[in-house]
Amino acid sequence: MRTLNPIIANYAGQVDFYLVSFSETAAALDGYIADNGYSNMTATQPVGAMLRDLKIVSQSSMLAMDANGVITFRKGYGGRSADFDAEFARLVQ
Amino acid sequence: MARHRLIIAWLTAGIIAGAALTGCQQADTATPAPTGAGTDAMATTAATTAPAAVATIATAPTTAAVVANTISIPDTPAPPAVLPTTPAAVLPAATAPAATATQPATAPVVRATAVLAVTVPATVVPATTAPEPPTAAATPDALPTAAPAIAATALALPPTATPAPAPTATTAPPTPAAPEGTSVGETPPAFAMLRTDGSAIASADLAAAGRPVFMMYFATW
Repeated sequence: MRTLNPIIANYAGQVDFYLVSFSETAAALDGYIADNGYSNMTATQPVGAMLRDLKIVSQSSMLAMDANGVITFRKGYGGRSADFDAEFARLVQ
Repeated sequence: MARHRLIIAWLTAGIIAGAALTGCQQADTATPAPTGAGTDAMATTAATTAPAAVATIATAPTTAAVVANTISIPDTPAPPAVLPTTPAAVLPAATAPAATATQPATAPVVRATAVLAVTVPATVVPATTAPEPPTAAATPDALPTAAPAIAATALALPPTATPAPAPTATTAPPTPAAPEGTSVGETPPAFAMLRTDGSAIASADLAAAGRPVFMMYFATW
């Protein structure tokens, strides 16, 4: 989150950023955002089988969709670090 | 009255004198008439009616017969006898070549446009009516020419129908929708999320907003 927060701030108003709780309520995430001073993000919690339908099996997973609703970026926990600047730049093209 | 009598007497004398002259001429022309009619093939039917007039002239040399002869000299039965034969023989021959001349000329033109194809059946109708005159000599020539003309128009109609579907193929193909899935390049299945205030965010709402979305699944622990 520390890495992402400045990038999210740069693309505020162009990309909607949602912080989705993996195993907590949206209110718990909202407190976490406030405690760490993050901004330009919306705390939510999944409804129904969202995590299973989207095959989100671990926390810190990321999924990006372009303006047409097509998945353009997907990353699970760990593994190779992603170039978030490049991914956000591709989203707003 | 005396003047009228003089005029009548003068006229009757003139008529008698003229009748005497024409009676001699009819006697001369009565004999060659049958031979002349026999030479003309088209006047053979007229010969059947003509001798009736000639016979009355020959057997009645009186003034009344002479007057009848002078009236019949224009020979009114003869022209009608010729007229029915000539139209019967000429008209089918004239109409049949006209039909054969117009039909091959119009049939190739029909293949070009559909508008002319509609007008062609109107021109075909005279071709089909051409065989209707019951004369024996002209119909065998008219029937074979009319039948290919109709066949040509029937063959000409299908090519006009085939260009019609061509413009429909020029419509722009719709952009193919991405298949549903969870991998990059696919459209995710429908989902929903809840905000802290309890309001829901559906995937359809995100798509309707028309803005990119970045989601991070996070845990605070």
